[in-house]
Amino acid sequence: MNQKIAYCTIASANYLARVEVLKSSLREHNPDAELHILLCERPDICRTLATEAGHAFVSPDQVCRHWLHMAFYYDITEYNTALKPFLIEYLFDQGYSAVIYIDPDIEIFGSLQPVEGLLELHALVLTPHVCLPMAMDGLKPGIDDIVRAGQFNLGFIALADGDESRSALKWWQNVCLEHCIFDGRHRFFVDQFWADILPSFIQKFHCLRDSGYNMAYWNVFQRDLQYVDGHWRADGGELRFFHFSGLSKQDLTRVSVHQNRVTAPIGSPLHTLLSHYVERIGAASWSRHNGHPYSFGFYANGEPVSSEDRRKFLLLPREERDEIGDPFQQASAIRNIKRIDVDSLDERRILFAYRLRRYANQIGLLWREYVRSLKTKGVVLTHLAVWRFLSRRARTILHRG
Amino acid sequence: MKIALISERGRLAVEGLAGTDWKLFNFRISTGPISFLNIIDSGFGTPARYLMSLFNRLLKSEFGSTASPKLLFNPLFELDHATILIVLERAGRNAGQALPTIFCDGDGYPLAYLLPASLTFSDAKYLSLLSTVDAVLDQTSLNGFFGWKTSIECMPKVGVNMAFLHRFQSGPCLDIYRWVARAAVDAMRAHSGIGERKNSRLPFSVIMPHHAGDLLFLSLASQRLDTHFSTVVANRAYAEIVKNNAKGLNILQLELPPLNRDGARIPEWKYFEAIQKMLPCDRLYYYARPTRDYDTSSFHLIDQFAFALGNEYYSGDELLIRSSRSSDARILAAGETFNVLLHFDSGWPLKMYPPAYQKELVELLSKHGYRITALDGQHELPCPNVAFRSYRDFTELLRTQHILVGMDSFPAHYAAHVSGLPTICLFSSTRPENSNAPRAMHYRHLERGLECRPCRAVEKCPLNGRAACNNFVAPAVVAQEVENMLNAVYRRSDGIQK
Repeated sequence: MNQKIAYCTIASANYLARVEVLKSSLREHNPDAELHILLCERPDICRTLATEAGHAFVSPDQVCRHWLHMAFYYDITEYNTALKPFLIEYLFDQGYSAVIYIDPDIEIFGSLQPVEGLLELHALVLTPHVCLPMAMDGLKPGIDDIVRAGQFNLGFIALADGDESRSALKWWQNVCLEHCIFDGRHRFFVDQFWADILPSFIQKFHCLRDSGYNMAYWNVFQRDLQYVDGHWRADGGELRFFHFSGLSKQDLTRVSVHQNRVTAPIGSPLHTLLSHYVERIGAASWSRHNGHPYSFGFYANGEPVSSEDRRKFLLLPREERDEIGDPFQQASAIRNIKRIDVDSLDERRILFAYRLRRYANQIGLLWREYVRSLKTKGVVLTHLAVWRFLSRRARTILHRG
Repeated sequence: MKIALISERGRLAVEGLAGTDWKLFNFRISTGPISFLNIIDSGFGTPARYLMSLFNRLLKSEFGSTASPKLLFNPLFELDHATILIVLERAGRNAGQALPTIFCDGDGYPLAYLLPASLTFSDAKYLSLLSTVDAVLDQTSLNGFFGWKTSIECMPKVGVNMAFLHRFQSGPCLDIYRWVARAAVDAMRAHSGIGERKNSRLPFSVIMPHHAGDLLFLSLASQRLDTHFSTVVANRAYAEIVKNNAKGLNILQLELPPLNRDGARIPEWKYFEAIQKMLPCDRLYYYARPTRDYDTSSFHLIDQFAFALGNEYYSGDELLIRSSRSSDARILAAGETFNVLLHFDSGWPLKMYPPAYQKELVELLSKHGYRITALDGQHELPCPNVAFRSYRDFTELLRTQHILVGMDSFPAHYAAHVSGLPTICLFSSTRPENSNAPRAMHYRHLERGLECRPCRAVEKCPLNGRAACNNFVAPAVVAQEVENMLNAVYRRSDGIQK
């Protein structure tokens, strides 16, 4: 069967060097593959960068009508991940029969023809984080971290168009619209938390357990990485792609900033792989955009958008957000929103704070009245009035006693 | 949980994306734009009616998704921040149990209502019968309406700084609200026992005793919507207006003179004390006259009444007054003389065209050769005077006329909104937006546009001290406008305009 397959990724400008490595490595091993890049920046910035980079980027407004509000209430990582189901549907709508999404911090080392083949038989292909049991030994990541982060790593997902896929995508989009967040308290782990249930919604699902796919810090200790005859191999088979998640560029022996389970001694195959990757992204022509400020990181007046502002806006009902309009133009309105954490409410504390504020207001009023009286009546008369007032109060209290 | 609050204090956002899924909606009673969050400002909407609106809006916001419990803050009160927080904290504790609860202050005033997820759109109308001033009474009502076991959580330390929300400040209506709720409970007890939703068979009646213009607009509102009300309680004098203009509304006549038409100025609530004894205990009542301040709202009375009758507006495009049609040009037989009907009487002295102006206008119009008739004239005028005897006589009289010049009162409103007779309405101390007909070839309103209106003065102008409003236009302007309109609307059958 002849499938029209789209490869895609999502990144902001600061990740364009990684995207270039992904793009060139993909082309190297899959000459016919075309990489669609959704650039999570303002549409005008996307156009400017497209001209500079010589590559037509997809901009957020092309894939999702809620792009502006999402750009405000999600931080850069949340936003990049939340748009994933929207981009996939967008590519389906462009006429592609299957879409393979790959994270921008992945480098391709082999042909992805097997995945394309899987998509002829299956509607959904996912890669698990780990394929072997792990001990609960207190190291990071532990199996509890893996379970919390989601059974499957969403740095890679392959979907074939179809009724089930479309229906699952719609559901995924709905949850990603407001719930694609990092929130340890509620177990939210961006889109990955929700995507875990996709296999329940799509019957033709394939769990891609081959060691050559989506190798990363979370499974590298379970797989044998070797460089043999000019080719990278995992557990003896071909390494298809490696996911450089949380890459610790300052200290490559650490492998990733998110883990402490494994190290990459200098000279080891893993260290070599990481070093080559760092060299490639350093040499990428798009690395000149590394320092590009995130265009959704600032209000129109130039003030930075804080994570508190983002969360407050997200917590408003959609109708209220619609009424605010473009939040990037509404710095003061957003800052004036009062955020209430119901879990931390305490009646006694609220009443205490409230009374304190009321007494403070009353003292403030008395002080202002005192100063006004000094100005209009003079020192002697004012202090005489104060003395009379206090004696009357004292007499009343004594009388009561 | 979905939380509704009418607040001018700025937006609040509640943490809780998972689990209880709190969403706090800050609604406003709006005299300007209408949207999901901006509810129409209606002088005929009681706090309980706004409670119903809050519920409907929350339901609409989650339409299609999982239903959740709803916490409605009492629209009657402008609650301070601390009170809101404490109610939220208490509601958070109860949210898991999803039991209906009324949170009240130490004096028994309901601060908020926690309603279970099972409540639907069709149940909302019962919320408009709650007292909003008596937690125990409302507990009985909720149990009666829905067969619940509603609990009351009293918070004696809060509510001390409670203030009435601006919309409901004027008019000592709290006893009337209480009466409405008690009457509903009594009706339920008398007819079907409490609970099990058996009471859905009890008809809803809207109490709107007076006056003619108000009942006309209420009737016109009923024509354009499906309401859950089946009866209007009104003075006998206005029964014909309802019978001839309302859709699906019967009339329950009050054998009392209308308020303030007999010279005695008694307050609305005292009048209500008199009529409540006449109301049969076989139905549920909604009191549609909680305030005389309908002119604080910029919306037309038809729309204000439509809200009272249960209509929900989510955008300005839905306003009923906008759907009114204008009349086509009319044909006048060759040689026929224009008949001009003048109506200068009105509800109170400042709304009446000054007597000197009346006389001058008659003289100016006579010079044009028009046949002039005065309707219910209170002053000596150089033209025939016809008394307003009945609705039928009035409508018959209108058929013989070519134009009506009237005040902001029933005859002009009827002519413009119902009969389509060319009408010029002269406004003084009231607000034209509340009763104007839509701009059309057959309708003009005239006023000077002074910024002091609406002043709510009745006998004398607070600025000039006289029983004459400066906002009235001069007779010459009216006469010119009469001629312009007649020329614009009528074409002679010989094809030549006059």
